[in-house]
Amino acid sequence: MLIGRLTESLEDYLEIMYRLLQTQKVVRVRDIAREKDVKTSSVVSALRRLDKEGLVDYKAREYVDLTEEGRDLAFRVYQRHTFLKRFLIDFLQVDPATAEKDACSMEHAISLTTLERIASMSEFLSCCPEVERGLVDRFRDRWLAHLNSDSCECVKAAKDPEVRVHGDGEMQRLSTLREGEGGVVARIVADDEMRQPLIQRGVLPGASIHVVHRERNGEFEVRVSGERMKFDRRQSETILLWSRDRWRTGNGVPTDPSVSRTLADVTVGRAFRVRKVTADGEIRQRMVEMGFVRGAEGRILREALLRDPLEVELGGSRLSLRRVEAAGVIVEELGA
Amino acid sequence: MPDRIRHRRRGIGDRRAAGRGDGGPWWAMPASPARKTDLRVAVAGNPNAGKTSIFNALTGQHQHIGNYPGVTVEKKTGRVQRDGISMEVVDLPGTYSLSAYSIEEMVAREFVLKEKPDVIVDVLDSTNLERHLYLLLQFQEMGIPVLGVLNMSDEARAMGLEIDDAQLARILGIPFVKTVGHRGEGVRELIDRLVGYARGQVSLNGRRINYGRDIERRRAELIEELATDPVFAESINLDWLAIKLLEDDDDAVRKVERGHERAADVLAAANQARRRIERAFDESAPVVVAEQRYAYIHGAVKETVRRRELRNRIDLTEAIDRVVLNRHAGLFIFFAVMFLIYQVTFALGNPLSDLIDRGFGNLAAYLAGVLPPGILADLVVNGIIGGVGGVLVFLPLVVLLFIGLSLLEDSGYMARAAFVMDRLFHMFGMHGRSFVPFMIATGCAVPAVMSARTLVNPRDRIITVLVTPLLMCGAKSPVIAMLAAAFFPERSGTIFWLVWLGGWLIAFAAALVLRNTMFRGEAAPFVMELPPYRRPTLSGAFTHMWERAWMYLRKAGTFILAASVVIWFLLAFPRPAEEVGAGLDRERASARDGSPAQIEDVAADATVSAHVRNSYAGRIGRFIEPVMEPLGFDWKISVALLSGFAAKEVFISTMGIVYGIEETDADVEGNSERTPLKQRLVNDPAYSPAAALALMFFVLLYVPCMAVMAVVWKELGAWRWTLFLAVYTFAISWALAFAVYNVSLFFGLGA
Repeated sequence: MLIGRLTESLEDYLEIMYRLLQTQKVVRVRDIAREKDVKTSSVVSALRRLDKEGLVDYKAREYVDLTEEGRDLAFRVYQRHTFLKRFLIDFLQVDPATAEKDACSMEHAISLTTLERIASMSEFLSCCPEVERGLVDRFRDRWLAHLNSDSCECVKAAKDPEVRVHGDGEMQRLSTLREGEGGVVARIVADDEMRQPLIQRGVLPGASIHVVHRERNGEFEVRVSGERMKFDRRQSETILLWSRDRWRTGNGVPTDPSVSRTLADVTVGRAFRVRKVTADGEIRQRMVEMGFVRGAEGRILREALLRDPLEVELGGSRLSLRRVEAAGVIVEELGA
Repeated sequence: MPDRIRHRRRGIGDRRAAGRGDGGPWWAMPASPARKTDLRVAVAGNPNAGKTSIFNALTGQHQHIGNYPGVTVEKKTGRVQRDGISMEVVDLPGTYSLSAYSIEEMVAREFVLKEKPDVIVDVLDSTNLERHLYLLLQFQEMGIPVLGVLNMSDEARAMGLEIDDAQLARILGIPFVKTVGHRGEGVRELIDRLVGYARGQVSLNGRRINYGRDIERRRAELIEELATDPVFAESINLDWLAIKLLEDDDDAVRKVERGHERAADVLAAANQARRRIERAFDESAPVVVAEQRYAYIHGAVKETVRRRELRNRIDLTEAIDRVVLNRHAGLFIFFAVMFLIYQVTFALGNPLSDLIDRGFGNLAAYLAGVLPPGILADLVVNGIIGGVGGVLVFLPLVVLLFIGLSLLEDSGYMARAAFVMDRLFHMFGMHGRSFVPFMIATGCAVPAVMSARTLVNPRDRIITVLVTPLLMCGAKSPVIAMLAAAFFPERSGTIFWLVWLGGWLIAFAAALVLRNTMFRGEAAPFVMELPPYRRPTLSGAFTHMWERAWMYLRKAGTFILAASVVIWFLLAFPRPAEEVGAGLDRERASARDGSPAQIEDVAADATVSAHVRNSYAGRIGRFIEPVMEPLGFDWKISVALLSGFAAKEVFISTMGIVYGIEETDADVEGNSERTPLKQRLVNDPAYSPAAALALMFFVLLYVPCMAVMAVVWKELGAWRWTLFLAVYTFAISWALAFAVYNVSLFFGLGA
């Protein structure tokens, strides 16, 4: 049986039984209940279901055992768990408790394809001779502890408050952008305490950000992939952005056209289809009047000298709009 | 005439006999014995739909231009007579929808709701029906009879679009007429339909759009809620209001708040309805409503428009845009186009202005000779003729600039220019369209302020109007050139350029400051149409020009005339002893005849000087001297500055009067050759190069001339802003002149 046929919870029961069987000869219902922290009655009903599937041998007695098929399935789930947990701890430096919890949910949901890629990544990081030895160590000791070390060039650049280098391939702090300017999130230079709230709000690498308004108190009103958000001054200083072109061409991250993005992130010359207008108030009204509604198709014809505003063809006529306005429309790119 | 009236009466009788009592338009009309109107027609449509050409074709020369009450949106009305039916036609402002975000939309909507025209003639661009039907649908929703005009049908044909107007009429339940507005094609038929409607032979009651089960249910609930106040329900179309509440329209909410006795309950119900729609569609309610409208339109267009693919058809608009909006060439083309307009305007306009100026000069001289010398002659010659001349001198510039601008607007380039310039202007908190007033203001701020009308957002418009007068205009430049030449003979060019540049920098800085203090908030959207290029019609340009010229003459004329009389009064009163006054008049008159050399007499100098010194203006000058002293200005400059309010170049002639010298034309042109006035200024120990430099900046920035103030008042419709303009320009000019004066003193320009 393939992983994912059963519910997560049933797979967990199998996995627990497998683990228990490694240290003890027999498994009792209350062992399982204790391990999974549930009532025995729940365990009994789960075991009945598994028994019906032919995965366990449970005859309403105190002891249970895995069938051949159940043992096979349980083994595979357990292997995944072990691998993923190790990957999270060893490579991503996640603390063991969180790694245990996350591995527990990933093991059921992850596709074979992605699992294989994670395995490849793990092989690459530990075995490939072209990767400089100690890449993982450096990630742990220097990158994650970024602000405590000067030994890495990229960290030094990030520490420099003046980092505002123009041109392709360079990063800019969000706090140095003016109204209407934007970019793609490259990284957030801060400790976990500051990073986590941002990441929770969806500020992840590759998200597009456009500045809608700068308050005098240093607050930034932005659109992150179309949605309106506010950052305080400290937050806006920690977010480093790629220029849009660098994101597309330079850093080797393939951009799949079917991934939705804002109109401001569509390459000039490409066609697009509108998914949703996230702008509000007057701008939304104007956009709707001009035909920005779900399913409408158009094309970005050109941009003005400083990449702003844009000329767009939509529903047979030409429109102009500023980039920051375009950042309030979610579209899918349709290609050239 | 009696014939016609009888004829018309018969017409009405016919209609009554036809027996259509279901709300024909003439019932609602108040019986007016003076001028009877059988049908009140409003012409509406999107911008760029050719609305104006249809309106012009309908009404011909019988137009009247005014304003909608309380706002500076033009209201054009006209009359049509046909077959005994008398129609009053109102041109509504061009809008894309009837939301409550721009003044134009509010005006159009209020007009339809309050004035309840009998028919709306909605002009549609046949080449882009989907967008244009959006507005038509909204009119239908308001329950007003609509007649559709498929304008630009020739272009649609050329593009391979075949529109089945009969089918469209069946779907939407109203007739459509195909027209070509600028050639007047189809307008006869349009009038026939209107006459037919007036006689009850044509039905214009369209279908009511169905928004689908979910939304209709919410709408029905809201209508029920609204109907709980019968008085309110009587006053407004509930069908429409309910949809607008679902769209979260500010104005609709306000209407409920003000008028409904259970406003809180209604609004709560509306909020709940919106939330439910949002949950059902996973999209905000206003967007869902709009999407339903588009879906409806999309269906209608699909059934009625056939598109034949034409081979070898070049998209002319794209071809032009590729050049004109090229990232790099675009800017140069923009400057070239503006330069051309500017050159043509001032090359043709300046000689005409001079001609007018000279004409008034001669008239003044003639009248001075004819009229008995005395206070009356002085008032006529210096007060009235000076004032009227001052207005008319600008007229050629106003006229020519507006011909040029309306050609640009009608061709479709203006929107492109805004596209090219938006980034720069947006950085300073303005809109791409602000560039037009800026460019024009380097010639004259009067037409510049008038041209700020192209800015839709009131905030952008006010900022632009408030800062453009800071730029160096054609009237300030001779004053500054004269001062530069007098005090900095070696470097007059550089100094002049420096002051010119200062004007630009200060204007941009002022815009930025205003935007970040008094006009904060989110920027107005730049989402706008770039209309396809079309050949502009000369008649359109001339109509536009004529409107502007007339408006300027009428509104600015009265104000400026009054102001010049006041300034004249300040300079002429109190009269010195009678004989001295008469002598002065004779001297002035002879000076205008062209013999200025004779009054080099020192004694005459002293008399004139003393007179000016004792006049009210002189007293004011001396009174404010303490204020101006920190800038290095004495009472004489103060008086001249005061008179410069009439027109900035008057500064020179007033200085001349103060020193007892009549100016010759050569000085006004700003020749580098040293004239008596320049010589005197330089020789006067009271003035230093530092003071001159400060004076140049002061003249550049201080309170705009009264012609500008008059149009600002007119355009912004509020004396508050006019007053603010005066106060803040004075503050800036004083502060800057103070800084310049002291820095210059520090660098040793005091001697």
